[in-house]
Amino acid sequence: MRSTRRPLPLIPGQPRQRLGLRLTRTAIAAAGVALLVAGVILNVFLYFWSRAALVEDMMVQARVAADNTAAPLLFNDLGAASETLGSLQASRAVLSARLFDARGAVFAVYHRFTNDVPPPLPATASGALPAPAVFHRGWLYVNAPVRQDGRLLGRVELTVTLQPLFDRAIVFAAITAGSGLAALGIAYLLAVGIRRDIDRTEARLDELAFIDPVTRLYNRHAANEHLQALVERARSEGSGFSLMLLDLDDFKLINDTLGHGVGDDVLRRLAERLHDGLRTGDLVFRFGGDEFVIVGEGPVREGASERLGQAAMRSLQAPLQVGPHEIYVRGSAGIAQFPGDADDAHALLRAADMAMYGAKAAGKNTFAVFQPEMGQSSHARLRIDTELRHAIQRGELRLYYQPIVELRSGAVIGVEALVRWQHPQRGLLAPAEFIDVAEHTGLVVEMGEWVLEGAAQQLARWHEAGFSELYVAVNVSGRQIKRQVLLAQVERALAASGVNPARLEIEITEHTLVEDVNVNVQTLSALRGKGMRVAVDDFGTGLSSLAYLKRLPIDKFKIDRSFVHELPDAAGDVAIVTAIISMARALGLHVIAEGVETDAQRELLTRLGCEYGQGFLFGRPVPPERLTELLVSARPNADAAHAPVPH
Amino acid sequence: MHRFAGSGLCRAALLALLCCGLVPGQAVERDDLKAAIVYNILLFVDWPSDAAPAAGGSLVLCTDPASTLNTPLKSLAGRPVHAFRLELHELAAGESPRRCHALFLDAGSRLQALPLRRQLKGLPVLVIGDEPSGADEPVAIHLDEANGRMAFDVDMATVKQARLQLSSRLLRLARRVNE
Repeated sequence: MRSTRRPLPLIPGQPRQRLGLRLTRTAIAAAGVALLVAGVILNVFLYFWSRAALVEDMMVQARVAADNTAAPLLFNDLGAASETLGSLQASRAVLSARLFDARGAVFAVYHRFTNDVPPPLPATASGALPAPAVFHRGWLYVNAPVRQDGRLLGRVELTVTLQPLFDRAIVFAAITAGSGLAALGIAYLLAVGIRRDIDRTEARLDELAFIDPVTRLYNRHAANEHLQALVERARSEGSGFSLMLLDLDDFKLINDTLGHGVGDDVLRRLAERLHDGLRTGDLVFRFGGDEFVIVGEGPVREGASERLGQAAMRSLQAPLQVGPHEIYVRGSAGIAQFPGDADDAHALLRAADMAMYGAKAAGKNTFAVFQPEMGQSSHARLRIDTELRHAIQRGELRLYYQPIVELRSGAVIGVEALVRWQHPQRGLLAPAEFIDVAEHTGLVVEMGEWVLEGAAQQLARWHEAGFSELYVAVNVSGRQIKRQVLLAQVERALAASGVNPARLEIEITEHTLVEDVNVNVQTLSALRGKGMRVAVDDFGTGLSSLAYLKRLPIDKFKIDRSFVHELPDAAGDVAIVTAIISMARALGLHVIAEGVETDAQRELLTRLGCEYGQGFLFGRPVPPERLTELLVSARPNADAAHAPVPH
Repeated sequence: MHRFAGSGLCRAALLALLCCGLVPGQAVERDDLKAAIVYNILLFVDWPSDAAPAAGGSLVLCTDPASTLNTPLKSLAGRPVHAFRLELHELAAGESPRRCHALFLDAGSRLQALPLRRQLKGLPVLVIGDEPSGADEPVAIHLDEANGRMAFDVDMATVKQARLQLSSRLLRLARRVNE
């Protein structure tokens, strides 16, 4: 699956700027700015410092010259004055020196041999001495008075070029810039090394954050980001895309029966297969434990949804070979499109989810394309939920009972309690119309308690009426067990009715049983400890592991009606039923056949050794008073007519 | 600020001093120049502490009463010399030169008489003369006129004998320094 790896987001043209690169650039820029500022400050400081030093030096020179020209000036000795001024030749910066007498006339001049001609210093006020140091157009003019015994004899003026100062400033700036660049270069090389480490770390973090370690597919987090990006792109480009949500049916079973290692292998192989079955541009994400999201990029065309769905189903068709196991994985997929079915990523996922539940409702292992009605049907579910809550309070629920007979004698030995809803508008509703909603919302827990109490009380009435051997079977939901309320509910029902626990049978579907075996085993063992019996409903449809059966705390199998329906003609069903019965015998369990409708079925089941049966042949689910009539009419002795009749 | 101010005398002295050269035949100007030079020389001389006048005291320049320089020199009286004031004193015949710090001897001055010379021996008196002198003369600085310019020679032996110190700046300007 490594070939599918691409940097996130997965949409081309939107490269994510790596954090490391930004960090490097910022660090180098910051270092550059710091060096620049420091360099400028240093250079400016140095320039002014050098200039101040030059001024000081020149003032000293001027003062020395002034001291040494006092005598020549006094004795009118031009030669000596010129000689003194000439000694300034040692100072390279001095371009010229002039000795003025007290009247301001030039007495002696020294001029360095150069082409530079400094501009004349603007004249000061008549009779005033110029300032000791004046900068004028890139030149420095330094003046020192010539005095002897406090008497002012004249002044010495030096004209100093600032060129060496400028040259030095330029050289120093160049050195600063050069060393700064060298330092930046070294810093850059170091930063590049660190950046490589950061990049590696980032890639690793990305992997941890966005890659599912089991399948090497992008995970839910990546899917959400990618979807968001796709939605934004589709909006700006006016395009669209398809999204498929694939949920594996009964995957938990594989984990529970074959172990997580095999489960992971199955996911891996399936991920590869899904990926191979898709077109370039389609992407597979592992969205959850056994959920995959497949995004079909490109324009949404007629049949695009079907293409995705069929591709997914093809991937599931052939069994997966995992070690010694050949595993068939089934899944239900829901497909929705953007922007047709939703206007944001969240709504799109919800639409696909609804479509997927549609597929599950349609019998699993298929796919469904989102239809607007699905959104409405979820509204309908919400309405049912609200109404159902009221129904329990208003007493709109009813308990119907279906007889369970001994096949050989035809005697009614027990009944199964079944819930019905007397809906004020829609009439009497079968569980199929509301149990799913109740399961979904958790209302089934409350409803389960109501059923347990009602059934126990009805049983108590029948026992009072003399049918003391009769038992009642009550269906419980996995939610009652999961929430660990079942035991308490049973105890309350037993206490309120006072019936013998041995006459109360708990029915749990095979699906529910294998969902969370450990918790179930614990609860069911506790129930059996109280003397109650446990029957496995719909046996044969839940793919129970045979290994479990021997350690499950159960008393009965109820063979699913789907195996009974085509008896005695369907050879395969005969074989399955035969197998179940002999297995039950071997494990010391009882067997009940559900959905017995014909005498032929009864005859065959009896011959195969099935002890009990339930179905239209013996009686439909009826209100308790009707069942009482049935019981009374079947009572063998005559004085039954005098017995009190319960309702 | 640094007004170049001074008395009229001072200005006159400097005018004379700063004149580029001498014009022959202009005797008055030459005397002015000589007087200024004599004064300027005094600015570069240090007397031994036992002979120097007290601070603010008078530095006495003695002259021959017959000297032609008396008039221009008198105009310089009161001028500062180091921390002192210049005082002029015409030395009478036979008067001891002890009071003098400096002595100007004209060519052919009657003060050239032998007794004075003897008296000067060992005294811290700077003797300035304006004509070449013999080897045993006590004249330390000879003024001379050459090529229309004033120049001077220094006799260091005499200077040392008189325990005087001449500034090197003055020596630099001397035409000749005799050790």
